[in-house]
Amino acid sequence: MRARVSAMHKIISVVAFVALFSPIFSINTNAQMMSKKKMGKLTKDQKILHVLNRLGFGAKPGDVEKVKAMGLERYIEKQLNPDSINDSEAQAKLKNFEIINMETAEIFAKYPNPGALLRMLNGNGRNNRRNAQNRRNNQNSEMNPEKSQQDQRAERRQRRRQLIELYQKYDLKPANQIPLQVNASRIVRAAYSDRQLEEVMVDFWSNHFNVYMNKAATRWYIPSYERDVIRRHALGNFRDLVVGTAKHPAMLFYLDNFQSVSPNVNRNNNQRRRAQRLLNNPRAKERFIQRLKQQGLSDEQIKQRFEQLKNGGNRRNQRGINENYARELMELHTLGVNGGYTQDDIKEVARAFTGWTIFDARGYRKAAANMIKDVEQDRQLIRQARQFGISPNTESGTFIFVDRLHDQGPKTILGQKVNEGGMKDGLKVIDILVSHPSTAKFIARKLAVKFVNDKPSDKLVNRVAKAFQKSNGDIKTTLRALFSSPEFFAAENYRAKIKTPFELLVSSVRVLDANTNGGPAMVGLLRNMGEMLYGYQAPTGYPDTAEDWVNTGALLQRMNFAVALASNRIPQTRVDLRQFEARNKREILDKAIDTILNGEISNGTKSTLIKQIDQPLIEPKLADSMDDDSALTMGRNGRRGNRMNRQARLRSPSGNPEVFKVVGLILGSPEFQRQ
Amino acid sequence: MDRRYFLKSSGIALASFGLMGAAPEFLHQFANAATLENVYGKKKILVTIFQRGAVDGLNMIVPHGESEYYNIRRNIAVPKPGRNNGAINLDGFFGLHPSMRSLEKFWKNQNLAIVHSSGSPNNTRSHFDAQDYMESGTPGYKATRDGWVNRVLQVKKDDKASPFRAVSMTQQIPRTMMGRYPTVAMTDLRTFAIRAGQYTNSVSGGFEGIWQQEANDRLGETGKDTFEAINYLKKANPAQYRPQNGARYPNGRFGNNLRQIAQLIKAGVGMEVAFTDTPGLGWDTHANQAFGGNGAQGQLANLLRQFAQGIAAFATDLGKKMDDVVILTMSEFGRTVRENGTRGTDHGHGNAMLVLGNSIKGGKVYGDWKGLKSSQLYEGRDLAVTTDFRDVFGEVAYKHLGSKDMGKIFPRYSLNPSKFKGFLS
Repeated sequence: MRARVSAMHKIISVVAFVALFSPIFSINTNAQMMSKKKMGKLTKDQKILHVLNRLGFGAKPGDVEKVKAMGLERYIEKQLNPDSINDSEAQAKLKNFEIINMETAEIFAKYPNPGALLRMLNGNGRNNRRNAQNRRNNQNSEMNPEKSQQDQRAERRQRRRQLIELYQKYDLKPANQIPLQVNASRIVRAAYSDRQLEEVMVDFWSNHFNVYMNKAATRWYIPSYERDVIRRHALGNFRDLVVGTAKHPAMLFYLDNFQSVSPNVNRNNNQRRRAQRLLNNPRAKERFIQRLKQQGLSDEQIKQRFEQLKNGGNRRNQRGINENYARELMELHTLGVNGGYTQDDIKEVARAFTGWTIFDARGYRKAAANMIKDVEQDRQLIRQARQFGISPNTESGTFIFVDRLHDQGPKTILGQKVNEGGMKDGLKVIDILVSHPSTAKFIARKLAVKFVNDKPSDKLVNRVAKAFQKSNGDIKTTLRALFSSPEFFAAENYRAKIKTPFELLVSSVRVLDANTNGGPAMVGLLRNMGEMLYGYQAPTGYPDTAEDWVNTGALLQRMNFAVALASNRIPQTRVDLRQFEARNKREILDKAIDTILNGEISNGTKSTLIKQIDQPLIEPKLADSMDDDSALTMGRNGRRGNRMNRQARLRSPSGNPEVFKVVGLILGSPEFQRQ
Repeated sequence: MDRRYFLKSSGIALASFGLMGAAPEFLHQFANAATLENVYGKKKILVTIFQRGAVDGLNMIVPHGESEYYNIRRNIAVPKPGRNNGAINLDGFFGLHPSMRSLEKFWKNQNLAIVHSSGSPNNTRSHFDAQDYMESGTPGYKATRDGWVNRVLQVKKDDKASPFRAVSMTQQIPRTMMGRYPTVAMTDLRTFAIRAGQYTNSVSGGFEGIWQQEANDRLGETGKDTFEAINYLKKANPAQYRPQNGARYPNGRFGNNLRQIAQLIKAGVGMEVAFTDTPGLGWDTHANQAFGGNGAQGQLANLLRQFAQGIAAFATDLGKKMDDVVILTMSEFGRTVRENGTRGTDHGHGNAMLVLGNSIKGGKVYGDWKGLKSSQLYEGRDLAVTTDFRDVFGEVAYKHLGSKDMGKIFPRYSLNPSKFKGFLS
């Protein structure tokens, strides 16, 4: 009985199998082609589309024809050599983003760290202490708590006024412009640059070597990081990327290496000397006690303070080795998590990178110097420059190697001795890591996931890894190996990747030939979809597989983005939908499907769309339903106010609703989420 | 794998396919009140509240029995119970800050427990890193992609789970909830919908239709879930919500977030974990955290008042439903034991966590207390951590949510029930 059932099953499945491949069923319209059985070979047009999707951010109208005329192989080779592509059109659109061409120190000066301004308002160095003392005295004289709170509020208001005055007087700009401009410039480049593969690789490497804009001073370093390291080497050599990121203040700050010093260095020598002087000189000691008393410290607290001094000063300032960078360098940047390193290796690598640090890492000095020319120079920094043996004129936020902070002596890394001394220790470590076979495999797999599918075969990975290793980490060679492997054009990988939110946003702009400057509303939508650039906190960077991107809230945001774009709700972004106008709804639909999906749509989606276009657009009863735009974008709970928030708010829909409904639905359809 | 259990298994399915619009009001209410909860069954729910900025735990839960506390906090200490503006005595040694009086009744009913001297084994005093570690649940290790709450859900598989199983009342999914398990972030229940101005209904219907017919791969499943979620919320009718039992949420976003979490719980949308931070409440009190010579008044007092009122309103509003709910509060680290020169406190180490719910063995302060003398402090300056925060998280995950694979939830840490504090039975 059982056997018979199973035989029956076999017959049925054989029939089904034959049906799948029989010519009758596969005289396919494009629509049928999409229905899950991507077994045959890709057509020429599909191959071109595939390349435009994977090596770029999707097709603009006319792109397929252009590539066809040029030849697909030649197109790919040109993409691998972005300098051979004239990109003046995109460059012109980038003119408004001054930040991307500015040096870090300039950004510190013009878009200052608010912390630096507050420090200035409080006075610098000595003044700082005096002001604080004055404030304390004022408080002491004011014992009525209610009134004190009023005073405090008044003080805060005054502080805000003073800050605003500073911004106006010196023509300063708010620092939250930095991530907005960086994001906008990337949207514009990805949408309009003909160097598409370069943009894809910038996206790839900036996630591989992720830094997070909201970690303290990291954001001031991002424009230079992207321009001078990531973009510069995006299609160059992998070692240059590792060295470049290792040295760059963005990474040094984000992964704390700038604070990592040899445990043998006592940075508090000065502090300790001063403490000794204080303890040995009775008059100085008495003065110090008086001062502490004035500050309201109890005898017990004063006693403790002296104990602290005897023990070598404030513990907080004592620093040692920080392993964060060393660990991520191996786990995330080179070898991969199972790449064969141990906790001891992490320690040794961390030792090798001690002394790789940043001068004036928060840009305080630059911000202050720019505004008040005769400001007392920050003594602490001048002292530090002297200690570090560097010029006191060193720009804020510059990478420096400080030999006296470096942990000298031999290190053993992955079984190899490293004893080059000074900065060469770190460089040697990088050599060892980038030439390690685990690195080749790790990078090859990651690239295969990016360009081929979420679960690439070992065979493919090994082939690509070999190319990586043979070429000593040449990225072009590695990519060529990937693009020329049979898996790349395999039919089952066609539209097999889910677009990331950034890819969805840019490919939508491209396919509609929309005009955008990537303004705050656009960035806000990108953020809502979950992928504001440099907005990923963990050093892993944004993930790249469907599992990570597809969830309820995120899909809703994708659909809302699609509608917002199609109905021209996004300020500073225009879509001309006249191209889709036609005599009737059915023709509008066909045009939209042809343009946006290259005519490739599942029967189900298509028949639903046909039904949908006949539904009434407005149900009168619900026409006035609340629609709080600010909730969609960056504005906080609809709080009105500054210019940026206003720019971020969406407008009312405009255009022919029959058209934008269809276009919005298609951009938000499952089909368009794939590439 | 089919998580749209509701649509398939319940008579209400018809309603969500369009009949609902025509149904009489009483039917809406019926759907609203009775059926949703039956679909997912009663869930154990965890509400996590993150006090970002590092609350001064020593003034929130005051060690008034410790004489050293008054020696070293001359200007900011909270007076002893019984004194003017004194702490609210809890157990003879610890007390609640007087502006947290709204929580007193929960202590007396033994529904509120404290875990004092708790925190991270890592010594970082950077807000960023400490929050990162507390949310990933892997202190000292940064490359963990997902948050510990997400792993709780990954570990405890539930094929019938609701799309609202994990909800964060934030603009973006917080680190705590990030990860492979799908979670939802929103700031306003009313805006969790397709938004196309006056064309909203038509466009939303269009999308629903398209995604409804999509194959049941991950993308298709999630698309259907999305509309199920949207339809749920519509039925829960957030605009009409009225808190019960006389609960009054404090004004502001924190109170508002808790009110919306309560709404979701009552709507029975199958939520198991909720997250909110404390928007508008800045705990990083380096200066002037107290006024008038003691800690009973001033900045921190105002913050704690709103914080406590929010939690009290939430628990009052839910009433009997608190049988199934645990509220857990956390903050990335504590603050220095000594006050600084500006009547504030700087970044420290150990802190206090609140655990509240009808199933909590409350009325007790858990955790070892080392003391505040110089020699008893961590690095000579901060409250020592005697309870790893993962022991607290773990107990809630294990005993309350029933997600028991501690090795998966807290990798790189050996956690077993013997380390639990026992505030849950």
